[in-house]
Amino acid sequence: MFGKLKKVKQGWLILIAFLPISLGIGFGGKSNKKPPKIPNRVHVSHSSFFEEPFETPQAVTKACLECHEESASEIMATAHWTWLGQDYVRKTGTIEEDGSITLGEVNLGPQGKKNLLNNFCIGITGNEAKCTSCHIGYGWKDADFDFKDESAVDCLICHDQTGQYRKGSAGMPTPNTDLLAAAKSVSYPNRDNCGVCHYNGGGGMGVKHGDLDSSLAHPFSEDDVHMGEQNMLCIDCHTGGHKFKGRSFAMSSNHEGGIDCLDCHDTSPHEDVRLNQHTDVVACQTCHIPAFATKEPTKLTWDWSKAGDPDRKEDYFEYLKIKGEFTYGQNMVPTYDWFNYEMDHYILGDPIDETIVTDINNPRGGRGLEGSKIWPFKVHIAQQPYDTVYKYLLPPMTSGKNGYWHNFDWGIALKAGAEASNIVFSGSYGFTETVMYWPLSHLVAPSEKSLQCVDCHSEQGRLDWKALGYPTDPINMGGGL
Amino acid sequence: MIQYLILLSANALAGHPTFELFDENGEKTLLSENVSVSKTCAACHDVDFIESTSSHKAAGVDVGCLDCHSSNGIEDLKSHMDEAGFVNCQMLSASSERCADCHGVVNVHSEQKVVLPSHIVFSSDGSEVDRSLKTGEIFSDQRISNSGLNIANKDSLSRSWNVHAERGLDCTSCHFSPNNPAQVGVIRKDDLEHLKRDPRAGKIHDYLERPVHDLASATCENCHDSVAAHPDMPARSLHLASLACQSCHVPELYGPAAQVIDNTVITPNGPRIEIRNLSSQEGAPSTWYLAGYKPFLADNGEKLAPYNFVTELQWVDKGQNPVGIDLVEKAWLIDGNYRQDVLKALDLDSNGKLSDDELEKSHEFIKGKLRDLGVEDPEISAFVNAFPIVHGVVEGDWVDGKCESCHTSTKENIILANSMPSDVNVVLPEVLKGQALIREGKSVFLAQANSERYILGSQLNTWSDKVGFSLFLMSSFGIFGHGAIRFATRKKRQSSHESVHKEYLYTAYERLWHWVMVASVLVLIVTGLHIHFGDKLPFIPFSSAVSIHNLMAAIMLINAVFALFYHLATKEITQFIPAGSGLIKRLIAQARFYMHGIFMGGAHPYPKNRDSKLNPLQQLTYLALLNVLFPAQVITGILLLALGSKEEAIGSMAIIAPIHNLVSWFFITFVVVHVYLITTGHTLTSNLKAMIDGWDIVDGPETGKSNE
Repeated sequence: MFGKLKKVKQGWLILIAFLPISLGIGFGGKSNKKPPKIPNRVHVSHSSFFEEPFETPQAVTKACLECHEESASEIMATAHWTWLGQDYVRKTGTIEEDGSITLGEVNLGPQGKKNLLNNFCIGITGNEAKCTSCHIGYGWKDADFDFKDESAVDCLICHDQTGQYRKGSAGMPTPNTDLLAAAKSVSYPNRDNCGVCHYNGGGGMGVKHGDLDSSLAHPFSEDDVHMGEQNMLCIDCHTGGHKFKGRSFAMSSNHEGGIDCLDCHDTSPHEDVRLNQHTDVVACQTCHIPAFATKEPTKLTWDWSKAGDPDRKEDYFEYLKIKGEFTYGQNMVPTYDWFNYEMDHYILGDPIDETIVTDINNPRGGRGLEGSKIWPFKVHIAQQPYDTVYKYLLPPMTSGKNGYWHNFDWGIALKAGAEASNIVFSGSYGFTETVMYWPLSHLVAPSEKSLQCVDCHSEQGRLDWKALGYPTDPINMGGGL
Repeated sequence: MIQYLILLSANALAGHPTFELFDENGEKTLLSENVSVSKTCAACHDVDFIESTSSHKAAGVDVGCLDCHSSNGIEDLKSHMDEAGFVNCQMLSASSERCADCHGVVNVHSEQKVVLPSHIVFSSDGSEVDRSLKTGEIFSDQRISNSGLNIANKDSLSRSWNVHAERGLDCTSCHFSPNNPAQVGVIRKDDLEHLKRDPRAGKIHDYLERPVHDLASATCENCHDSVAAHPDMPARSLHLASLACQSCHVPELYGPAAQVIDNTVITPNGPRIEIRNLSSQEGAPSTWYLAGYKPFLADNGEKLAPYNFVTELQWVDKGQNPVGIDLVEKAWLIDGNYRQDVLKALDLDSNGKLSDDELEKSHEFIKGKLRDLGVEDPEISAFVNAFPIVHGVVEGDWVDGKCESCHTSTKENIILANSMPSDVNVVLPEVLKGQALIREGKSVFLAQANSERYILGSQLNTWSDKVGFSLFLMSSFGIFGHGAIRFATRKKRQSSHESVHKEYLYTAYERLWHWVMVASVLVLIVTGLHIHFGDKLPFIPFSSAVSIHNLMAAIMLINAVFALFYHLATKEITQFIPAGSGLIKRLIAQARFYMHGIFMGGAHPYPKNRDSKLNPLQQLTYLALLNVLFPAQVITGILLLALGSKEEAIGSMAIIAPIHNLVSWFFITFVVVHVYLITTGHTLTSNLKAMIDGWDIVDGPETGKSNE
């Protein structure tokens, strides 16, 4: 009996052995990860759930939380609520007496929008009421805001579909907002729900990112293959419900919980071996985002020192009395540099050298360093106030009674700002150049528009090979990476 | 200016030393007006040698050093001269932009969109000048969709104009100085075929002093291995031996290519030119657009290669000597405009302009004018220029790899001219010798004969399909009917057999070769259908189907040889040979069983046992299968494989392939009938089980002969 069984097995084994051979030849070796199908989302209509008008926006939140009990606590754990990211660990080097250098690390604690300086409106502390019109909460007008109050979560700014729900001072809905209609309309966030804040970062349309602006409301296929051609929503990549993935490269210190092209795409997606050889050192974005601000201009420079001139003609794209002088650019070629998903930051109080440009943030990485790839950046340059005695940047108070926008006096504004931020202001100030790097990851163009060989590998190519650490274009060095 | 400086500094021959300027007498000079370029360069370079080797000079082109090696001629030197008279001008290596000055539209690594030069002159001497107008070739890395030209379906043309430009090559990448040490050895000489590369590079200083200016024209093979590049090409050696690379890799050209240069009609803009791929020229020029045109393939004596044919018309005198273009111009124009008498005679609608129709009717009048100017018996002659197309190369993705694009019975017309006076004789170029000129009204054209071939996987010889499929269909219907009757009568034959027993019928090897055969036949059928129907079946790519098919055929053949050996060695072969006497009777008995007894529960007339596993019908079937169909399939298969790449024999494909196809329908039919008959054992699956474990249920009492 056993003998028979054995014979049966042998026969089948040989038969089975042929299957992988024939299949293997047919579909030889190449594993092509297909991007996942984009879900067709249907949301339960909430229009019959609410009948009585809501007195306060917090009442809407409470109504939401009656069914969605976990939602507030989930979103309150994210940077959307805290405006803080992970701990920023700064790498240090101390020169010892014998001249050797000891490398070390300093944990500077959690950093984020809340406490970092930026290159646009500079700092939030003291200006909360104005800045937090983009906070997903109600009432953050000063340092006393209760970050544990679940009813202060603003559900509607992400879920409203009426389009009439807008946030004003301290994140409260603007007057005459129909809260009932907004509550009845709730659904999954569409691109504009995210865009109402993220298109307008930095104080105006397209100002900050360069790869996020209102053109993404109805994106062209030629600009963005995901949101245009595939009509994807933000939440198709930023998945995970209220604990969704994604980090702001510029404001984060690392990429924990971030999104990667490889989440959906293959590691060697190109047919041409030579292109796949690039992926170790070149980020997908570098070739596939040939230009930023393709349809809407983005701010490239911002000179605060020119602000306050009452005689100068105002122009949204050139000069505003409250903000100073700007330049904008449209359809811009990115700047390229190494980046390993880790970002260094200027921390309030860090000493500066006013004769050189100060990095507000600085992407880590370099040629040959692990995890580093060449990335595309939007670079934004500003002239910011600093303390000429203590040699550090000063975050001005802009809004409010003592704010610069009220009385156009830098002395008062900087004093108030320094007090709010709890740093010493000597009373004398100047302006110094600061720079901020914004890694680009949206506006991924269709493959027909991606960069070609000579866009980088030619005399007029867009990469500055020497600045990237190469002696010359690597195509002239036998292709060494 | 900034752009110019960047260009200059970036594209410079790195490290050209500073130098001084010399005048005609070899004296140093500070004045650019006095500078003798050849004397200045001759301070270091052997200018006489360079000129003696220059292919440009040999072609009669008066070209100086700075025409190629600077962006702005003598002005470059002047603007880079310091107070002491030293020029610190990084000399340009000959750049593609400078080549473009004469040879056609070149636009490399530039932010500027590809546009046409405002003024194009057609040089009728068959030289390399103005290639773009002669062939439509444009050398640029820019995507066509991104260029500045009006082109039909431009948005879909996301490829570059030229893949070599896209990959960072420029003109000198292929047209280099042959003694440049960096390039020596790249070109294989005919007498060095055993060498891949000649390592005897010259010295760099020799090269710098005497760079040979007989510029190379590298061929595709200098860099590419065409065999390795086409692993899946059907009939590869045949294709590669008979087609120039460009025949496939220049699928369409989008630059404006001339069709007719009419030197008999001189307009204020020069001779009348017809562009082959330009839409109608009515309305504003901004509404005109270019379309891609497929180059024409002609035999260049070695291979089929792509050409553009440009028909040129000219006046000749009594002795068939061309009338000077100046004289013709004199007949037409005065001070760059039409003569009054020309307008008076030809401007039928009196609008002050001459339309194409009006120009077409000009011949008689101009003939008279030429006579007045002293030309004896002027008449029009026409000849066709053949301009080979070598640039405009695209990568494989953009090549039309479909067999039927070339191998079809349809003929494409090559238009030579749309309005040719019927009495004009048209002289064809060498590559078109033997072609018959077709005239229809005023049109003159050639018919591009496509090579009509039976293409595996592309064309269908439908008769074999029809016969084979009917056979398959009839058998399937038969089986269906038979099965239905068996199902209807299943109750009648319950417990009909009193004595059955299990017997070990099939040895392990018999089962093994059988299943190997099953696997290979099934794979052969599936891949064979894919090959037969080409890309009409979507599951397996054509090239993979071919490789799997060939591999499986080999496995099946080896399996068959082993099985034959086994059957001979064990004398099992006798089971397959029907005994002669009474065969007809036995066949009838077996057929009767299948037609009748099987429904009624009748006993098998020839029950299986270890020594006689096959019934008479099976014996006959296998006799035919193994002695006729199998060899036929193997032989036709081998012939297809062997002859498919032989040009002399390729015509026979049209006969062999349908036979192979027809026999495969027999095999398919056999598989279907075979599978059905498996179910006619004692139970539906007992036969199947027997072929798996060897044990079958057979009629009759236990004989005790079991081998197990």
